[in-house]
Parts: sequence; C-alpha cells; structure tokens
Amino acid sequence: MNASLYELLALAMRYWFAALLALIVFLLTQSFVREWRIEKAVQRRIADTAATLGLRVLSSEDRRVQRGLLLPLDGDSLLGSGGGCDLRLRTRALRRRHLVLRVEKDRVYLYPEGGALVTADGQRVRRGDTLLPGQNMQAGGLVFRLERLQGEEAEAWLDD
Amino acid sequence: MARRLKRPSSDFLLLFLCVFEASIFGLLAFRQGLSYFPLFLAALMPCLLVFQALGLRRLFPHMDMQLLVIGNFLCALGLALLCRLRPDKAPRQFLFYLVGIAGMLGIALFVTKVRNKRPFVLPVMLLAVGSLGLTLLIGESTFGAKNWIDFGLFTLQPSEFVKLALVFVMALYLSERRDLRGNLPALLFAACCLCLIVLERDLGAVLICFLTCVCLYYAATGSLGLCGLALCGAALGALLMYALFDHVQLRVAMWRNPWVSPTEGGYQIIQALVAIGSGGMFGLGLGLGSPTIIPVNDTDFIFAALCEEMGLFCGLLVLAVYVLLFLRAGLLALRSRSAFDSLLCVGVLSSLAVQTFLIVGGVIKMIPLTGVTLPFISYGGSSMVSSMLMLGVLEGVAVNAGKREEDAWLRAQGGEAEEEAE
Repeated sequence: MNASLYELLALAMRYWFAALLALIVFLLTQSFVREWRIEKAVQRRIADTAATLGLRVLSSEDRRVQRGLLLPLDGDSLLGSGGGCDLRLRTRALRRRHLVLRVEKDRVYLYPEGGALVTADGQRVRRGDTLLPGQNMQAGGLVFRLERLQGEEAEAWLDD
Repeated sequence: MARRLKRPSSDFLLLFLCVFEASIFGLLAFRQGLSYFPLFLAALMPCLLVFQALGLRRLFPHMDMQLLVIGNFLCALGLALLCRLRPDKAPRQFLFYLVGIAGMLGIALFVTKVRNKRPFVLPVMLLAVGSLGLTLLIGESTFGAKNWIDFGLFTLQPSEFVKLALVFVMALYLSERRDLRGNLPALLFAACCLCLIVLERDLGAVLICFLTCVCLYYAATGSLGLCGLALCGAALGALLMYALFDHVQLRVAMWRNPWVSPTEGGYQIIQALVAIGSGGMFGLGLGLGSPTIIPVNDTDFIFAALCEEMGLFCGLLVLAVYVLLFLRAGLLALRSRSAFDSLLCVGVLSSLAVQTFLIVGGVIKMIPLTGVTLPFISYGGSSMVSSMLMLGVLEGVAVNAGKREEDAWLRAQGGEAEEEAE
C-alpha cells in the first residue's frame, strides 16, 4: 500500500475508531446500569420471598459465645474457630474448622470436618446428613437450633 | 419452575471489540509496507478474546464478561499503540499479555477454589519484603528510581506485584479483625513495604500503595480519625521528600512552569501537551502524527500519543472505560457476601484508580508527574501482568458473588432450576 493511500485510509478510519469506541462505551454503560437494576431487584426479591435460614445458639460451654446469637446461613458456610471460616466463633468449644453447612431447598446438609463430633437431636451426624428447621444440633461445646428467618431479620442480614 | 438468574448478554460487546481489534491491527499492518506482526494480531486477538469468553465461561459460569471485555479492550489498545510507536517491543508485550491471561486465570481459581487463604499470608509477606530488599541490593536505576531487577531474559519491577500483595494481606486481616491491635501485623507489613519503596525512590509506587492501604482501612473500619491522621502524615512525608530528593523538586518545578526549561526538564511535558493539542477531537490519524518525539511515549506518555493520533474524543472514551472498570469493581464489592471478597475489590479498585489518576493527571499537567504506568495500556511486562492479576482477582470475586446470588435466588424461587440455553 503506498503512503498516500495509507494516509487516506488512516484519516477516514479516525471516525470509524471513534464510533466503535463510543459504541463499546455505550454498551458497557448500558450493561452496568442494567446490572445495577437487576442487583437491586434480586436483593428485594430475596428479602421478600425467601425464608432465610439461620443457626441460633441455645447454649455454650464458653461464656464468650452469647446465648441467642444468630448466625445466618447462605450457600456453603464453614463453621469453626479459625480464620477463613465463614461463621467464625472465637471459642475453644469449636475446632478451627469444625463443620460445613450447605443450605439447599429449605434444609441444611451437614459435613463435619476431619472427624469433628456433631450431633443432631442426639444422633451422631454423618457427612451429608440433613438438618431441618426446628431441629437442634450440637457441634463441640455449642448447641444450635436451625431456624427460619423472615421479614426484618432476613432483610437486615441481606442489607449487611 | 424456578428460572436461573439471567444477566445482560455480552455478545454484541464481544462482537464490536473483535471488529475494533481486527480493524486497528489491520490498519497498522499496512502502515509501512506490509508488517506481519500487526496482521497476525488482527487475526489472533479476536480469536483470543472469543476463546477467553467461551472457555472461561465454562470454567467460571458466573464470571463478569464486561470486566473481561474492558481488560482485553485496554490491552488491545495498548498493543496497537505499541505496534505504532515501538514495533520492536510489541511482540514482547504480546507475550506478557499471554502470561497475564494465564495469571488472571490462576488467580481467579485461587480466589474461588481456595477456601482457607490464611496459610498463604506469611509466604506472600516474605516474598514481597524479600523482593523489595533484593531490588535495593541488586536493582537497577531508571529516571532516579532503583526499582528494577534484571534477570537477563526479562526485567522485573517488584513494586508492581507488591501492590497486590498488600491488598491481599490487608484484606485478609481487616476481614477478620477491625481493631488496630488485631491488624498490627498487616499494618507493619504495609509500613515495611512503603519504607523499602521509599528507599528505592519510586515515589509513584509509594503513593499508590499508601493510598490503597488508607482506602482499605477506611472501607473496613470506617475510622475517619486514623485515616485522616495517616493522610496528614503522608502530606508531611511528601514535604520531606520534596526537601530531600532533587528529582521531586525538578518535577514540581516543571509542573508549575515547564517553559522555564523547555529543552531540558520541561521538554517531556511540553511535547505531551502539544501532542494532545495537535490531535484535536478526532486525532491526526493512526501513524500520521509525531508521537515518537515525546520521550518515553510507550510507557508514561502513551496517553498523550493516543490523544495525538486518535483524538481527544477517543482519549475521553478510554478514560470512560476506566471509570466503568472502577464502577464495576465497586458494584462487585457491594455484591460480595464475604468481607474478604469485598475488601479485595476495594483494594484493587483503589490501586487501579489511584494509578490511572496519577499518570493521566501528570500527562495533562494537572498534578506533578510521578512516573507510573497506565494500567493495561503502557508498555511493561510487570505492569501488564500485575494489571491482569488484579482483573483475575475481580473475576474470582464475581464468580463467588454470582454463585451465592444464584443459590439465594433459586431458594427464593423454590424448586429445581431450569437449564438455560445460552
């Protein structure tokens, strides 16, 4: 391609690049605004319709863990006393990584970590056992009850 | 039947970006006869983009497509400008881009799959401090700062990766404890890194790291008092550095009036301003301007070269893309259910935003020049790879947030999820 032809092409394509860039920025902005709106709608819908599940502490060997403390559950949550746990309670009554709780379809599946002792309504829990709302669970030196959270409790957690 | 959460499609965005890449590299291929490397990129870059979009979507179903598009767009633009300004450096930068993609994937996997990140804190801290210490011992100086290590085959700028290490360590500590005592190890680590970078005289990196730490601390604790105190201390530190370092005094003097020394100290900034002005709204045309007159046009002043040849309109649109990147990172921070993920987003956002502000502000003479790179666009392996790693962090957080939202959405819907044809 000779120099003058390239010059003509480059001069013409200034506007082409400007138009393409403007289009890309427009689509990115539109997508961002839509995502923002979807996000607000999702959070509203989840708060309105979902009965969120949570673990309430009924009793504890360690005074540092308050009775009545509520631990909301969301997806997969690792319960323990160590760093990196989703539900971290600084107490020797729990192992560093004690138990994984998986919320699915209004029930919780339990996966004790590394041979940790977990019982549900007095029965020893095996990996994959379920815990239903209203049932009690003992993990280490703590006793929990699985509860449904609705209205303000669920909304407060989702807005957190 | 419960339906999966549907996000806006990115197909048109991918299409337009592919067209942009093909046309800009295609044009550059004919600038001086026929150049094979830009022609190769005109074909390969769109394929790489499609491969990333389809391939990564399988690996990470909830990844943020728009972030991927933004990162790839900026990298492609940087590569195109490099093909124009320094064709000899373009193949090397392309290699770094490929390394960056691999790094992005790796770090996204780390953020999504590794549950307990605590064991990595100490090695990261030791590696960061060790690399900065090594730079002080055997590093090379460029433009007054001793911040490079030459390994023969490639050179490394550790401060680029220390930014990410700082974000990781501080996010981990601040997500677990909000009190000063509990965060002492992280704050000491940050102070140590900052001191080492000051000794290297890389003041741009000091500013970025310091402001990132302050933003992270404020986001985690809301403590205006301590953050205000830190900023006052930083202002005093800046005055001290002005008093101690000659090149800081020179840069401030040239910022105030570059015409005092138009052929020496002020030459760079004057040429940059003239280049931006010459370009007008739509530029002189790719390959038709004289951006090669500007010193370091491939790194610090690449924005000026962009404005000269593609125009102020394109320059502003590129800045708009950066703003959208920061907004998306902010939205991710709000979407995340985990404090650690939110703080990672805040850290990455602060680091990229401060860096972009410092370099663009310096080029247009809004603030004194600090000699940092424009993320994703400027030439530099360390800069490219660290920017892509930060993008990988954001993608990892997006996947975590998306997974949790999907579960919560399906629970709210009730019942089985329907498989959705893409």
